[in-house]
Amino acid sequence: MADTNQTPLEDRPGSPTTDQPLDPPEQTEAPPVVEGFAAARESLAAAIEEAAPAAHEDQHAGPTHYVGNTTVLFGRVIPLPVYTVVFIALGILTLFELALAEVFPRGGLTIPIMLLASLTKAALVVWFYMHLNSDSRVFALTLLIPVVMVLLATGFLMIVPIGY
Amino acid sequence: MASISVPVGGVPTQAAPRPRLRASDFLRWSVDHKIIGVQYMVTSFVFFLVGGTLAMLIRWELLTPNLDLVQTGSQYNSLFSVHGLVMIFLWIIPMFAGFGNYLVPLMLGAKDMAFPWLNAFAFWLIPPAGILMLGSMLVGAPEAGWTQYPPLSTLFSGDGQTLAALAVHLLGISSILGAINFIVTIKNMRPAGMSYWQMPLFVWAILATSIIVVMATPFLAGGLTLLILDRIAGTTFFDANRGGDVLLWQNVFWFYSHPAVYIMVLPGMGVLSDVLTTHSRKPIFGYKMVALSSLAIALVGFTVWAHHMFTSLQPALRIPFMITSMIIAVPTGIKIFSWLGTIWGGKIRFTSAMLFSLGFLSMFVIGGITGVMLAMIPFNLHVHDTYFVVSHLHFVLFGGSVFAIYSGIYHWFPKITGRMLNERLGRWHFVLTYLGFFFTFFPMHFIGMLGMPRRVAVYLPEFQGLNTIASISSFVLGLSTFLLVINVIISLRNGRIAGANPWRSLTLEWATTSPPPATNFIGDPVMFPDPYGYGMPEAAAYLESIDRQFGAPARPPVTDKPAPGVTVVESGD
Amino acid sequence: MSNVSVYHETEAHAAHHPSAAERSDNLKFATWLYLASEVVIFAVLIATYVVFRLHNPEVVAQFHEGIQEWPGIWLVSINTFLLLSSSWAMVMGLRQIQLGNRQGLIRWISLTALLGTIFVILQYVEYTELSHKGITLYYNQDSTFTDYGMRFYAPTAFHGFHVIVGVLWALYVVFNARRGRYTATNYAGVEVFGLYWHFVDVVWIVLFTLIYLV
Repeated sequence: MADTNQTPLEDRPGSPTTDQPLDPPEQTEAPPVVEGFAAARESLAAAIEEAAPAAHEDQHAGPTHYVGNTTVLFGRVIPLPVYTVVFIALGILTLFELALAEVFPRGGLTIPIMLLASLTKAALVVWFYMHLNSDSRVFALTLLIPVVMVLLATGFLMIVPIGY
Repeated sequence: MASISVPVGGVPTQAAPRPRLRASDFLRWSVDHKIIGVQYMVTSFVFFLVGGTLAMLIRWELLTPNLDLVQTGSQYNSLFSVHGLVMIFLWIIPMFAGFGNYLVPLMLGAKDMAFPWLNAFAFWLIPPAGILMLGSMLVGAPEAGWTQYPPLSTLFSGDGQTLAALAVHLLGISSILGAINFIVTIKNMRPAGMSYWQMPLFVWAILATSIIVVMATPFLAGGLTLLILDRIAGTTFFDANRGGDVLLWQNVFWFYSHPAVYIMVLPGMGVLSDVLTTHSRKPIFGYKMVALSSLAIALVGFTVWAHHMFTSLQPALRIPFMITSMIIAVPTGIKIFSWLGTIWGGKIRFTSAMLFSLGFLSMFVIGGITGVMLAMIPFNLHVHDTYFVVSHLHFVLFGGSVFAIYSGIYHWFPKITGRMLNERLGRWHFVLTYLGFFFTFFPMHFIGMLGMPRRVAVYLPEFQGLNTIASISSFVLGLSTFLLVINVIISLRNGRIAGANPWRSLTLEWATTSPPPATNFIGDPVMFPDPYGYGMPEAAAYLESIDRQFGAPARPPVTDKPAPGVTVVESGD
Repeated sequence: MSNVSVYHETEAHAAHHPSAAERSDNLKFATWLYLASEVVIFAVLIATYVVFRLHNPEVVAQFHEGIQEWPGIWLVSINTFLLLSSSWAMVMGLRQIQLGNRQGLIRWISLTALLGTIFVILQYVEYTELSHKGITLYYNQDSTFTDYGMRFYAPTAFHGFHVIVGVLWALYVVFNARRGRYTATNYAGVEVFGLYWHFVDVVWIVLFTLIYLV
C-alpha cells in the first residue's frame, strides 16, 4: 500500500490525467505557470526540511521515566526506586494530615496546612506517577488550565449568597 | 511529499463522479471521517427540520394574543423548550461537528482523524439522544426552557424533563469525545511543514471550539447529574425550601452555556474566514489576529457567564461581568473588521456561499450590538426576559451560526458530493432566508422593548401587529429551508460536475478529487505554504497544477464568468 | 489502489498506520484531555460540598464527630492507604514493563485491581454504616444531616464509580498483558490506564482531605 502511494500519479493506469490528455505528451516546454509552481515547490520543500525535524523532535524523544533502582534525594542515594520513595512520602503526608485532624487540637492554621499537605500529595502523584516531569509541557497545560478555572469558579460560588 | 509530479499538458475535465457510496453506507457504523461527517450533517439537519417545525408552531400560536393552537400554557412551554433544546444541542453543535469531521483531516492533509473509532462512537451517541429528546414530548414534556432552570425543571416539569436532561448529557459526552479527537488530530496530525500558522482558519476555529467543549461541557454534565438526581433520587440540590440553592444551577449552567454560545458561533466564524477569502480572491486580512481572536474569545468566554443572571445576582457582583462582557466584543470586532478588510477591494463573486457569508456579517453585527446593549446592567434589567433577548439570541444563533452553516453547505457541497448546488435556487434560498429571518426577528426588538415577556403564549392585544409580521415572516423563513432541501436533492442527481477545486481555493481539502477517495489523498498532498495566498503567481500555478491532476469543473461555477483556466490566470494579478 | 475512485472502507483501515510512538503520543494526549474534562465535572460535585461546608460548618463538625468511633474515620484512612498503594503498584507495574518484565507487569497490575476492589468493598461498608446513622442520599427530614447526605454522597459515590471502572480497566490491562500485547517499547495501553488510575487517586486525595478532615 505504501509503495503504491509513492507512485507518481501519471504513471498509474486509469488515472484521469493520462486517460484523456488534451495536449500531446511530447510537449517539452513547460508553460510559465508551471515554472512558477516549480519554484514555489522548491521553496516549499526547503521550508519543510527546516520545519520537519523540529516538529518531530519533541514528540518522539521517548521519556525513559524511572526504571533505575536508586533515588537521589537531597544529595543522598537511597536504594529504592523513585516510585517507592514517592509512595513513602505520600504515606507520611497522609499520616501527618490524620494527626492534624484527629490528634492535635484545631487551630486557625490547621485547615490551610491540611489543604497544603493534600495539594502536595496531589502534586507528587501528578508530577512523578503521571510523568508530567518528563512528558510534554502541553500535558501539564491541559491539566493546569481547567484546574485554575475550576478553582476560580469554586471561589466565585463561595462568595455568592446561597439559599434562594 | 515530492511524489506528486505535475503533469504537463492540457486541463482535463473530471468525469462524472461514479456512484461510489450507496445510501446504506451512511446508515451503518463506519470509521471513515467523511462518512461520519455526512452522518452528522444529515442527522442534525433532520433535527433542524424538527426544531423548525416546532418554531413554526410557536409562531402560529403567537399570531393571535389568545390561546388558539395549543390548549394550555404547558403545551406552549413544551413547544419552546424542545425547540430550544433541539436547535442548540441537536442541530447547531452537531452540525459544526459534522463540518469539522469532514473538513479537518482533509484540511490537514491527513488520512483520518486521530481516533476513527472514537469518532464513530461519538456520532452514534447522537441518534439515541435525539430519540430521547423527542420522546420526552410524549411522556410529560419538558417545560423549563432550554435553560432548564430549577425549580421549574425539578418540581414542575413532567418526566420528559428527565429524559431531556439525559439526552443533553449524552450529547455532552458525544461532543467532549469529538472535541478530544479534534484537538489531538490538530496537534499531532498536521503534515510535516505545516505549522500552526499555516492551518486554515476553519481549523483554528475548530481548535478553539474544542478547547471550550473540553473545559466547559463537563460543567453542564455535573449540573445535569445533580438535576437528574434531584428528579429521580430525592436529593434537593436545587430546592431552596429544603437546603438547596437554585442559584447553583444558574451558575453552573451558565459556566457551560455562555462558552457554549461560542461553541456554536466560532466554527461559523471559521467557515466565514474560508469562504470570504476564497470568493473574494484576496488573502485574509490579519491571519494571526483572526486565529488568535478565536482563542481570545474562548478564554474570555469563560469569564462572562453571570451576565445572564444580572437580575438574580447580588448588585456588587454585576459590574465585573459587565466589564468582561464588553471586553469579549473586542476579539469579535477584530474578526468582523478583518473580514471587512478581506473583502474590501476583492474580486467578489456573489455565489450563494458568499451571499450567506455576507448575510452572516450583516446579521451577526446586529446580534453583536444588541449583545453589548444587553451587557449594560441598566438596560439589561429593563429588557431582561423579554423578546429583546429572544431577538438578540436569534440574531447571533440564526443570523450567525445558521447563515454560516448554509454558507458552508454551499461552499463544501461540491467537495462532499462531487456536484455543484444549483446557484439560481441558492440565490432564491438566500433572499427568502435573509428577508424572512430579518422580518421575523427584527420586530422582536421592539416587542421586547415594549415589554412583552418571552415564553408566554398569551400576550396583550397591543403587541399583535408586530407579532403578526414576525409570524408571517417566519413562515417564509421556514419554507425557504425547503429550497435548500430541494436544491440538494436535485443537485445530487443532476448538479454540474464540480471537479476537484471549483472555487479555486488554496486549502488542502481541494487538492484531491471530489468526493475524496477513502484515503483522502493519493500519496502525500502538496500543501500551498499560505492557505490564503490568493493573488500570488505561485497560487495561480498551484491551482493550475491541481486542475491538471484531478480535473477541472465541467463548466465554470458561475455562468457569467470565463472558463476556469482563465479565471486562475486572472486571479494571479 | 490503482484506481483513484475506488472507495472501500477496508482501504481506510489499511491506509492509516501511525507509528507506535505517534499512537502513544495521541493516546496520552487524548487521555489528558479526557482527564481535564473530568477535573471539571468533579469540581462541580466538590464545589457543592465546599459551599455547604463554608455555610454550615456545624453540620460538618457533627459529621466528623459522628465518624470518630470505629470504624468511621479509620475505615476511610485504610481506604486512603489502599488507594495510594494501588497507585504505587500501578507505577511499579509500568516500570516492570519498561524493563521488559511482562510477568512483573501482570503481578503489579493484578495487585492494583485487588486493592481497588477492596476499596470499593470498604466504601460500601462505610456507606452502610453512614446510612444507619441517618446520612442518606435523599433529603432526610428525620436526621440531623437533612441535606448533608446528598452533598457527601455525590462526589464520593461518583469517585467510587470511577474506581469500579478503573478496576475493570485494570483487569483488561492484565488480560492484554497475558496475551503479550505490551512490550518494553510498546506500553502505551498501560501508561494510559496509569494516567486514569492516578487521576482517580488524586481525586481521592483531595476528597479525603476536604470531606473527612477539613
